[in-house]
Order: sequence, then C-alpha cells, then structure tokens
Amino acid sequence: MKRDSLFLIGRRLLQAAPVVMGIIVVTFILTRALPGDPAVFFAGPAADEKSIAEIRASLGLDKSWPEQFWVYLQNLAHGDLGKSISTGQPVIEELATRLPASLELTFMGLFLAVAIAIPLGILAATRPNSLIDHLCRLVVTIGVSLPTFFTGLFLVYIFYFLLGLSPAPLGRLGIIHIAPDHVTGFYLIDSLIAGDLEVFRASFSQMILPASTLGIFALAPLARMTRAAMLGVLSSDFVRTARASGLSRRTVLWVYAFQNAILPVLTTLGMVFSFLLGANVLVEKVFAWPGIGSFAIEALIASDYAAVQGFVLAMALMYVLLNLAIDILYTVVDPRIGLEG
Amino acid sequence: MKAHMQHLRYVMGENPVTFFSFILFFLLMALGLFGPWIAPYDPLASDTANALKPPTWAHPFGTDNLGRDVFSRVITATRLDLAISVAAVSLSFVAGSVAGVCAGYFGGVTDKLISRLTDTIMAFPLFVLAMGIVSALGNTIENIVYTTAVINFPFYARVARAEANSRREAGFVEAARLSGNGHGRILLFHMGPNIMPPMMVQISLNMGYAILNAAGLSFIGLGVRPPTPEWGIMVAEGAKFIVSGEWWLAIFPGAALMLAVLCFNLLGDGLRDLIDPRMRT
Amino acid sequence: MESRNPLLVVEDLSLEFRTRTGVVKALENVSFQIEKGQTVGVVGESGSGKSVMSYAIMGISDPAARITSGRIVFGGISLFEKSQQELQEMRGRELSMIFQSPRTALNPIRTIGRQLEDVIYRHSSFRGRQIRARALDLLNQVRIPDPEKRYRAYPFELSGGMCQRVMIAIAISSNPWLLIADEPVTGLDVTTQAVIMDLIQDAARERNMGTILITHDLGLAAEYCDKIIVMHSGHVVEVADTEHLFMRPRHPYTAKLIGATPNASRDLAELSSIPGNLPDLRAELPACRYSERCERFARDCLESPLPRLGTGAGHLVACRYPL
Repeated sequence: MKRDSLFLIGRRLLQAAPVVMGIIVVTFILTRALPGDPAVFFAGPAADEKSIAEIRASLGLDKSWPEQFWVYLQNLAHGDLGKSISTGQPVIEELATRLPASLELTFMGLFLAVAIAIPLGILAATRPNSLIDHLCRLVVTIGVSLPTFFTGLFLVYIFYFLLGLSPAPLGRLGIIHIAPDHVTGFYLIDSLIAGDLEVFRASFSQMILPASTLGIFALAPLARMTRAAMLGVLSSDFVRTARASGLSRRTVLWVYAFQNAILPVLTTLGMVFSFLLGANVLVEKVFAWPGIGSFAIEALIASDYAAVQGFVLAMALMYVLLNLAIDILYTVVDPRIGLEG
Repeated sequence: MKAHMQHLRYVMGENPVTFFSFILFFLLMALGLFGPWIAPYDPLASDTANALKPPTWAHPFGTDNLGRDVFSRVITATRLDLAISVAAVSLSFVAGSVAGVCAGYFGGVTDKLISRLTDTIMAFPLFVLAMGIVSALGNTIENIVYTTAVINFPFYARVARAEANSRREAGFVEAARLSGNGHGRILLFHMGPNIMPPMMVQISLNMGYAILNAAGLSFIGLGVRPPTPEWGIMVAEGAKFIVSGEWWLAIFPGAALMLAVLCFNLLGDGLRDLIDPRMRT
Repeated sequence: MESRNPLLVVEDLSLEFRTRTGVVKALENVSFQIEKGQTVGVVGESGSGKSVMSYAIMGISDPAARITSGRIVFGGISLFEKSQQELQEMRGRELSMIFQSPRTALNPIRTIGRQLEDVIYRHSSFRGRQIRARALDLLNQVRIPDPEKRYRAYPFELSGGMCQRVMIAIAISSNPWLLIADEPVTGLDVTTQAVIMDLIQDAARERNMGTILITHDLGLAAEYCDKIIVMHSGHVVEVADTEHLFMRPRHPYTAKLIGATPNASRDLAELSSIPGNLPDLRAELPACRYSERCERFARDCLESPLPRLGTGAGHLVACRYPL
C-alpha cells in the first residue's frame, strides 16, 4: 500500500511536467510578444542604430526563436529571470524578498475562509431550508459577486475610519514597529520566535483586514462546495447504512459523511487558490501590502517586462506546486485513487 | 387543483430572486444604452468649488475631488464596463465554441492540441495571466478585451467539447452525415444549435466573472485611463479618499460593479435551473 | 398462526412525502405482523412502497416523510413513542437492515474492518482487542475467506457478494431480533444469490431472528419465506402463507404476478405482461389503487372503505371482488 502511494505520487509528479513546460512556453511567448522591438524599448529614446544592435545582441534577440527559447530555458534553470529595470536588481531576488509577505497574507485569508466556509456548509447541509441554510446561500451568492478591492475598501472605511478598530491600511507594520528578525519571513511566526508579542499583535492587527478581504472572497466557492458535497454524501447509500446500524449522529456526520465530503472540497481548494493569487494583487494594492502583487503592479505601470513575466511565471509555478500538494493529499486520503485512473 | 396551487406557490416563492435579477438586467441595459442621456451632469466636467461634497439631492452620489458628479460618472461608466465584458465574452464564446466543437467532434490530434491549450491556460492563476498578457500586448482597452477573452476561453471550449463529444454518435448527426453533409455543415447546422443551451448558461455564469476581471485590471491601472469614467478606475481613484472618510467616491462605483456582477450571477443560476433542474443546489 | 406476542406489528400505517410537486401518499393503512423467527417476504413492483415501509420501521425515513397514521410495535414496544436517541440505540442492535448494491452501501474510504468495528464498539461492551476479535469472528461467520486480509480491504477492492457478506456481518453483529433485507441479492450473479440467501437464512435460524425479505423476485420469496405480503402502490393488497398464496391467490394483482412468473425465477422487473402503470401517487386516488389496471373492475371498487377479507389461516385480501 505504501509503495503504491509513492508510485502514484511519482506518476503525478511526472504528469505535472507537461503543464510546467506549457507554462514556460507561454511566459516565453509573453516575453517575446512585446509591442514593437524590445531592443528599441530597452535602449531608451536616446539610442542610435548601433546601441540598439548591441542591446539586441546582448538580449539574444538576434538569434532564432528556438535558440532564444533554449537560452531562456538555461537562464530559468539557473534561476535567472532577468533584471528589473526599475530597481536594477535581479527579478528573482525582488520576488524572493517580497514573497513571504504575499504568502503570509494569502494563507491567512485561505485559513479564515476555510474556518468559516466548512462549518457553514456543513450546518447548511445538515439543516436544509433552515435559517443557516438560507444564510449560507446568501453568503454564497453575494460572495461571488463582490469585487475584492471593493470589499477591502469597504472594510477599511468601516473598521479604520468609522470605528477606529484597525490601524491604517499601510502595509505589514505601523511605522513605530520594527520588523522581526528574518527567519521565515512571516511576521506572525518570526515575531513569536523573537518572543516579541507586541510586534506579533501589531502585525496581526495589520493583517486582519486584508486577510478578511481575501477570506470573504474565497468563502463563497468553498461554502458552496462543502454544502453540495455534504448534501450529496448525506443522501448516499453508505450514510444510510451507517444510520441503519445505529451509529451515533456524531460518528455518522464526521467519520462517515464529512471525511467523504472533504474530497471534492479539496479539489475546489485548488481552484480557490488560483483565484486568491489573483485577488491577492488587488488586496495588496488596497492595503499597500509590500508583497509580490504590489511589486508586479509597479512593474506593470513602469513597463518593467522582465519583472512582470517573472511574477507571472512564479505565480503559475506556485499554483502548480499547490495543485500537486493537493493531489498528493488526495492520494493519501482516498484509497480508490490509482485503481480507477 | 390543490397541486396547481402548490406549484404556483412554489414558483412564486422562487421567483423574486430571478425577478429581481431581470429588473436589474434591464436597468443595466437601459443605463448602458441611454446612460449619457440619463446622466444629469457631464461626467467629465470638473467644478473645483464643489469638490468632495457628500451626497445631496443635487448630487445623489456626491462629487469627487475635481467636483465631478459621481452619479453621472457611475451611470456613464455602465456602457464601457458592459461593452468590455460583452465584447470579451463574445470573443471567447465564438472562439471557445469553434475550438471546443472541433475538439469534441473530430477527436484525435485536434482534441489533444485544443485540450492541451485549455489545460495550459488553466494552469495559470487567471488574473495573473491576464496581467502578463496585458503587459506583453500593451496597455490599451482593446488588449483588456482580448486578454479577458483569452482567460475565459477554456470555460467555453470545455463545455462545447463535452457537449459535442456526447453528441458525436447521436442519431441526428449520423443522419446528417449519411445524407451527404460535409463536416462544416454538420458542425454549423447540426452541432451548433444543439450545444447552444449549455453555452448560454455558461455565458451568463461567465459574464459576472468577466466584468469583475476587467474592472480588476483597470483598478490596478491597466486599460482604461483617467478621466474616462469606468467603475474599476473610479474605485481606484476613490480609494485614496476612503481613509479620510470620503466614502462615496469609491463605494458607489464599487456597489454598481457589485450589482452588475450579482445580476449576471443570479441570471446564470436561474437559467441553469431552468435548463438543468438537477443542478439545483 | 397469529401469536399473542408477535415480534413486529405494523398497524394502519400511512406515510406521505411533501415534495415540491405535491404530497405523495407513499403508504396507506398498511398492516401486517411478523412472529419471532419468521421469514416474511414483501413483494411488489418498484414504487410499491416496500423500501419506504422498511425505512419507516427502521426509523430512517427521509426528512420529507410524514407518518400520518398508525403505529409500529416492535417486541411489545411502540416505536413512535421512543426518543430519537433510544431508536438510534435500537438500530443495529435489535433491528438491522441490509441493502441493495452492497458496494455503495459501505463507506468507500474506510476499511471494512473499521466499519465493522464502528458498529461493534457502538453496541457492545467489547473494547480494545476484543472488538477486533469479535469482528474477525463475524467475518468468519459470514464465511469470508482469509478474514485477516479482508479486514484491511476497502469496499472497492471486494466483489459485490463479498461486500454483502460484510453488510450481513455488520447487521448481525449484535444478534438482532429482526433483520430487514432490502433486495439483498439484486444485481448479484445467480450462484452468489443463493450463497447470500443461505447465509441470511442460517443466521436467522441460529438466532431465532425474524426476517423481512424485500424483493421483486417472487421465486426468491417462494423459496425462502414463510409468509408473503403483496404490495401495490403503497397498499398491502394480500397477505398469506407462502403455500396458500401460490396455491390460491385471491387478489387479481397477486394472480397476475404469479401468472407472469411461470417458473418462479423470473424477475418482476422484467415483466411487461401486467397492463397499465402504477398510478400517480400525488393525485386523488380511488379506494383500490389497482382498479385502473384490474380486469375485474366494477364501479364500487372506487368507493372507500375497501373491504379487507379474511379467509382463514391468516389469509387476508384487500379487494371487493376477490378471486
């Protein structure tokens, strides 16, 4: 059984290879699809013929497309995503320093969403047409219609301006606090490691609004799927058997129904993560969060192509990784995987 | 008789939501078509003496930092927001249908290629891919349309493929083939009409997402440029004033955006229930 | 025949479902009783209310179901007076049930050993290693080869017949007084059918356990049952000892069923020789729900109440003009 799982995980990793290749091809095309001649762009307005040709050669743009692609692959293998023209630093370093901020926010948002959506979906499914079921439907319908940036601003207005409960939406920490020593890059964890509860509290209060914004966004699809999956499982044959065997309501609900219903929710989680990575960009802009989303927006406005494409590639690879993780988790949870597929 | 009454009550009980979304839909369409004539003020005319005034009877949504009437701007923006998403959805609908039907009908290499393409697009977080494409193509409204079309393409292609695939061996297709119709005619006149209902559902479910996406792109400063009134960019411009309490600049265009998306989502759900009652949740 | 102390009495039971399209009168004035150790067959087409009735006895009806009249007395206790908690504790201990399509009736992501343990843990005082020993003993009793290995198997790794044996093991784990078997062998191949039925019969004999066999296979009912209840559209139309029923059916529907089953081994589901369809249970219904299909139909068949004629030896028929 154990060896089977390992084999399945290995096969799943292999299946991801063409997807990764597809992602690399697309980002390559995007870097070469610049409007006009990229060499002219990079050379700047004062450049003459000669300097443009030099830049073209230095960028490798005088080579054929397959050759360029090969060079692109080699650079990627070395982790070289090019240099950001606005900061002059290698794109990979810029991304790496900002990634923890984005990840911390995204995970917090996802955590909030899961913590609310799953109980809500279960309650709604076990009490059809009750008040909580209607509430669940309302949340689902409104939730998918809310623009993230609108939710964020709305929360800022209520909790910062009107109630004064939240700090100003200006990044990860107020100016009076100093970032904790870098260990994981997650301020919540690093501040605990440093034993600085004051910074922990400060970074938590900075995070609660943006994370809630993301959470509200991710809540709807998760609650919808939890409810639907639970409803499906609760009317299944094996739950009927469990009830006919007199198993307690708790056992039927958690051990029999929930453990089966969680499987489609896990799949939805992958899709939700894809939306979250996009929504994260908008939320970072609203809350001036110094993550890779803010970096990408600045790069976009400044036409810093290498930075933008590096960002797209990094996000796509992260998404592939997450889907892999979910698949592997699925393989561990569901014994049927592998014999059917 | 009793059963009829119960059915009526059931329909009435479920109608309000669909009814509400229909009202919203016609309102949106009216604003999109006649917005510039309905708007009480010129959406671009600034009046610095009246800047940042909260909602009053004269300015129901207040005025912005240049004294422009937010109400007029929100109404005028309807056309542009709807135009972008309708254009994008139409493009992805046409391209997705053609590609999907071909993949489902011909199978083999065609299917493999198209499926690989949709899988690759879906492997990206879609909004992030949209940012990448806009940056590569150039920051214009047309490119926002193309980009939104690209990221929605897989949804249509997948539905069309599944529908065509399930009908490939159907009697009416076989009959058309035997009576000497070429592939083109079969696809256009026999497959096409048959995949329409599920595609219509897909359109109305997808429309809200397309609007959100386009508005998201303009919120981060892509596509639409100021001072053009557009919901996304209006929220972005109004965002600066939220922290000082001038909420009406961002909240009204944001609410308009939300209502538009809600409207299409509700219509989509209603349409899906109508066409496939088993999907009811 | 009718003892003073029957195992199960169903009396005047009526049940309806509230649905979006109207009220479905799924059961109407259903009455019958079962003695200890007796095997009773419930036969009828699909949609006749056989399963609905068994779910009502088990207390696991759909939430949309409403019991509008009658009572169910099990071992001298009226079940409708019991609390949900008490009923839950009785299920699987005093009354058990097995189902059609055993492969989907077991939790797909839990080993069969664990599922068996869950029920033993719930209903016995066994703890720790005793539970496992008891579970293995039960797997042995239902003649599962190599129980140690099967213990760790998931339902999808076993055949339908094996899964049904596991279901039986779960059902008899607490030596219940009554076992309801709802189409237990439908969909299994013929040899497996016989094996499973023998297993159920042996288990019942060893424990003096009452058994309700729900089936649309008259042949199966004839072979294994002491008594047969014929249901049609939510009505019990005839109750009789197996021998009586086959020798002298009184209800026109029963006669049709038997006539349509010449070698007593064909499935009722395959039959098309009974004219007409089951009536729509949402509409206003006549006193006799078979009247529309009946050759002996007369106008007064539509009038309530429909007589319930006893013809001695526990043979009951709900018909105005019986054969």
